[in-house]
Amino acid sequence: MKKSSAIAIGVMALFAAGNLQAATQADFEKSQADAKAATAEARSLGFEWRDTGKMLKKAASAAAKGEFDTAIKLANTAKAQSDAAVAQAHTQAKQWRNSVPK
Amino acid sequence: MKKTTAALILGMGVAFIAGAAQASPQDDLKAYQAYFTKKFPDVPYKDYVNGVYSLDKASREQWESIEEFPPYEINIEEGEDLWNEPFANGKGYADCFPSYKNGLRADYPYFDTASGQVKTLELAINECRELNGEKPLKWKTGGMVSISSYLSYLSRGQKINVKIPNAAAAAAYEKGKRHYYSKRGQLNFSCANCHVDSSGSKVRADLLSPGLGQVSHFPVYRSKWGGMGTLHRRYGGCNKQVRAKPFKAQSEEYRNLEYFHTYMSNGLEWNGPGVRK
Repeated sequence: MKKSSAIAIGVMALFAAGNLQAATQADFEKSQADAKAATAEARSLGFEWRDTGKMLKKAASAAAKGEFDTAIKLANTAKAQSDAAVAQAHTQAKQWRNSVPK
Repeated sequence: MKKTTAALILGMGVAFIAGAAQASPQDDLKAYQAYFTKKFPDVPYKDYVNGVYSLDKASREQWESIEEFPPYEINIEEGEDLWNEPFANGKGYADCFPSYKNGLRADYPYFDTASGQVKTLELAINECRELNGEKPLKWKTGGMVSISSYLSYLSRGQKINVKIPNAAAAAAYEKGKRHYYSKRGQLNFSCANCHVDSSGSKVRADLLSPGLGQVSHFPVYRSKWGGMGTLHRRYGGCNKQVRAKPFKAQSEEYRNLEYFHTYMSNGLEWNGPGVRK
């Protein structure tokens, strides 16, 4: 193998190793905080979705068992749903009147 | 042009534009009624209070046979017993509602200007209890539903006649209207998507009932519940079905929704309690 190729592979391997580092409690807490903030905003607008609360609880349970990858995935899904709920609230604020029979 | 004339013309112009931007409740009602009478020209107007049974002959026949021995009868009887049972202080519901036999159901919902909120029948029942030192009843099932069934039964045939007496009431109506027409939940549906746009269509095995006349038969025995429930119980279920987090029964959100929703059936008759699939 060429030296440059070996170096390239070595660098890529280091990158991969960095990305495969196990998720931590701190990582989860960041995801959880972001998800909770988004859900709180959706709630304040009256547009919270049905399942985000449950997801956050499941995320916390997984984190308590040290299953941080699962916990972060759940928290991130909750955040994504709540972000969508907030966007829905803002869109509907502008558009709801369009549906009223004239 | 004189300053005052110019100001007057400008003011009238602004008022005209503002008026054109927001329809009045009366205009809303006319448009809502016209939508359904155009969509379902063969439905006799009074029959809208029977929901899907005004649209589908086969399910109407099943429903009529259920109505011969309706499952809510036991709740009417229980409701009458609960109504007549005195409170610990010796008083009773009749002291809060002396003319209840005239059709109490038809007095609700109404906008209470003093407290600045919509008052529903269930809210008034619990207010009476608390006024007399009694614990409030649960909102969606149990004794509350039986009392509501009894009062609804006594009010059968009364006209739905929700009033909007002032600007604060109009604001509550507008909030209810906004909930009704706003898409919500992960499935992104509004009340109107199902009960206006898709009324008469099927969602899986069920027909979607028209919004016109929809509140008249509550409280309702639903086969799906295997029991009775209030309008707000159904609101919560509908919100959950579109994967929106439900509001609490008798929350301001649902009382405003009930206010708008009931106004949209003004002129039709109260016919509760009812039976539905």
